Amino acid sequence: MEKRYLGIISATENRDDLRRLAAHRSIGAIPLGGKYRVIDFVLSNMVNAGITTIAVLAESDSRSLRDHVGTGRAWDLNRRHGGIFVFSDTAKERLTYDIKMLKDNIEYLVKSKEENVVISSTHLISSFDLKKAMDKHESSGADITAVYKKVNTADSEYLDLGVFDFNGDGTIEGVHRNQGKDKKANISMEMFILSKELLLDLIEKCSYINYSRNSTSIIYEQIGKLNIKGYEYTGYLGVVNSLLSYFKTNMDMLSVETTKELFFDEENPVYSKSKDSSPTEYYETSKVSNALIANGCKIKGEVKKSIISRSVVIEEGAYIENSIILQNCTIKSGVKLKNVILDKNVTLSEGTELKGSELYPLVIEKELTRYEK
Amino acid sequence: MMKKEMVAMILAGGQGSRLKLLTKNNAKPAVPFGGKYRIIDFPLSNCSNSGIDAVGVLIQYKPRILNTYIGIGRTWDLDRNFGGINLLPPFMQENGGFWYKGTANSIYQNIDFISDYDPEYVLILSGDHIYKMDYNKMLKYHKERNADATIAVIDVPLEEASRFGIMNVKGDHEVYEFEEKPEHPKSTLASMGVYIFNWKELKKALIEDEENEKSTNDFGKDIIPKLLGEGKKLVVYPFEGYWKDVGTLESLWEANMDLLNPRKKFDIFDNDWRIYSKALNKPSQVIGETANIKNSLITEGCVIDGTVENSVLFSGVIVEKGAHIKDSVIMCNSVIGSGAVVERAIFGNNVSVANGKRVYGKSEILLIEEDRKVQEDIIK
Repeated sequence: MEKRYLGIISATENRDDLRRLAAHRSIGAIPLGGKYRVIDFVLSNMVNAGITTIAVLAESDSRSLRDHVGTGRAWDLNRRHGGIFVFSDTAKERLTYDIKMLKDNIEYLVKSKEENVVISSTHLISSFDLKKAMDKHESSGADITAVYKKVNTADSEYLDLGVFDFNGDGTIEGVHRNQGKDKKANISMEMFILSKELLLDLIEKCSYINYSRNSTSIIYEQIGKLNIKGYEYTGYLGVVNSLLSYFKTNMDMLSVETTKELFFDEENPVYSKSKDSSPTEYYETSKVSNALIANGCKIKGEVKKSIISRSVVIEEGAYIENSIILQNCTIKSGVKLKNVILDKNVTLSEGTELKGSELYPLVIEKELTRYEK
Repeated sequence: MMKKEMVAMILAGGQGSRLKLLTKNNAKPAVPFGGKYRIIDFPLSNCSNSGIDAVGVLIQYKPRILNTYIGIGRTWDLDRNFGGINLLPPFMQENGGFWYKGTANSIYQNIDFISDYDPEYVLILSGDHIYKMDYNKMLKYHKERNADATIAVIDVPLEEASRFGIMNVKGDHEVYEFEEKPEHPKSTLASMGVYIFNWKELKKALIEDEENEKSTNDFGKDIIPKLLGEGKKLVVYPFEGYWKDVGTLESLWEANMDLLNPRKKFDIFDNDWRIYSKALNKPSQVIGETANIKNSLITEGCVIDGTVENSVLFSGVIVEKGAHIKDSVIMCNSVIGSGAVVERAIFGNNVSVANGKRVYGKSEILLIEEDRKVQEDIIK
């Protein structure tokens, strides 16, 4: 690679629509697909494209995100030169602005040796060859390259994300928020490629207004002023920006095509922090179909169309359908679940029956207070 | 000067020829076990859990996979500034180089390594046994008994005793005789290949043993009888719990099956005594609509559309629709074609079975070596 790239991951998305699931964690740290966290996907895409220096901009309450990222070892980012660096906002306010964090840590940006930057949010789930987008950026001569996907389901999915309008030669002319009015839309993946110099310039320009901005919005503001080209991504695109999109993205992973594309592509593996759980144990009474199951579970009951994270115990006579069960939950005998999201460490006592609807999945929040065995 | 109270030495250099094709390209301690482990994870995790952080691993036979796997020992939290894991192959010296001639000789050749830690005690372990053991408890016992050497033993059935090194003891656990694989065993206390020696005594014995040209330089055959002959105090440390020597195909298969036993002889889920293993980067298990899984251990990265019964599947195994696996151990990335039937078999890595073929171990456990493409029925 001739030009070197700095990755910047902005883990500061508004998470109000994820309710209790995001009460104690950034979107990047939300568990997904049985053993992953949201941030794994964008991190892996960057690493697979050869980026070895990545800055993560995190909110003030980012313990679980920091815990997950750690030294960056899972992504081979535990490096002497470059590697991963997590910045955190020390502000007490609920809202965090990544431009303010970049301004506060401008020294890091100035000092880094990389000439170019890929800046991305975390909440869009994809696995693709970002290197191709970087190459296209360099050959096109654009000031900024924005990654997007053409979708046919914008009326029910990808809500609240940016939608690009293009002119004839692939330059982005305008952007608006997807309010679900059209089926077809060019959905912005909130991933941009630009020179570091330009990014520094854009940050500097904010000083005339104020730094309480997000990188996505300051780049959108340049549409029409700078040469911003699109790079079309054609693979699977999941979203985690609301409870419903989180539920859907997990359920999408039950489809063989999606799983193959996301997880079994040897060129673009998805890395995640590893755990020392044993293999999953299936008992004589277990009945499992159409499910994603992580390691370390003990399964004696019935599981259908569901995602089961690590170290979950499902007792004999329990029935789970269309649900997402996060780490360390215990589901006792006689429990019936349908359209439920069970956050970490929840124990459901015998005979509990919980039912949400597909449009309104029921969330049972993380058990924080109970420590007895 | 820092020192370590006890240094552990793991004997991992043997060929393990009784595991046949499984050790064609791989040392026995690196043979996969239990869905995601390798045999050496057990002694290494025991060391880590016992707080022993100076470990030498003696390697010799086909060490490439074992080397890569152990690396700097991070998996077992043994990447330490002082101590940690050290891989110890045989080496050239000014008067030539020597292969490790026997278990005792391999320790003899590494006297300098052990002496650097100036330990009171040395723990000798085998790299090919499946068990969980707190070596600290054994050390405490060794000190209380004021012994020169302590040998961990397990009570085996009388009919099996002649397969082991048997310790004959007086009432207070003191050894008066050691018999290697006796035809008519006098006791059922089998040596587990776990020894604690006072380092000073052992060093002296190793040097003398090396000078004795008739010696086979083996712990069981030479060092233990020698110490006994000199009137040293050798005691046995009775171990209760699961222990298995997985030196043969049958015992390797049995030990895998023991993990599935409902009366659970061996619990790998134990959070208080974890078995650490290098994690592969694989997605969650994908269980299809037509899957049927009973009494089995399945690892991340598997894709299951068929029936799996009473079996252990390592990561990345694909079981296609209508395939049936029973009483078998399938190592990484094997593919069982649709409608194929596999029974009483051990598969190495990357085996594929063509659609509808039958692979049966009838009288014995059938081994299919790694990378083999099975295109016809194999029934043995």
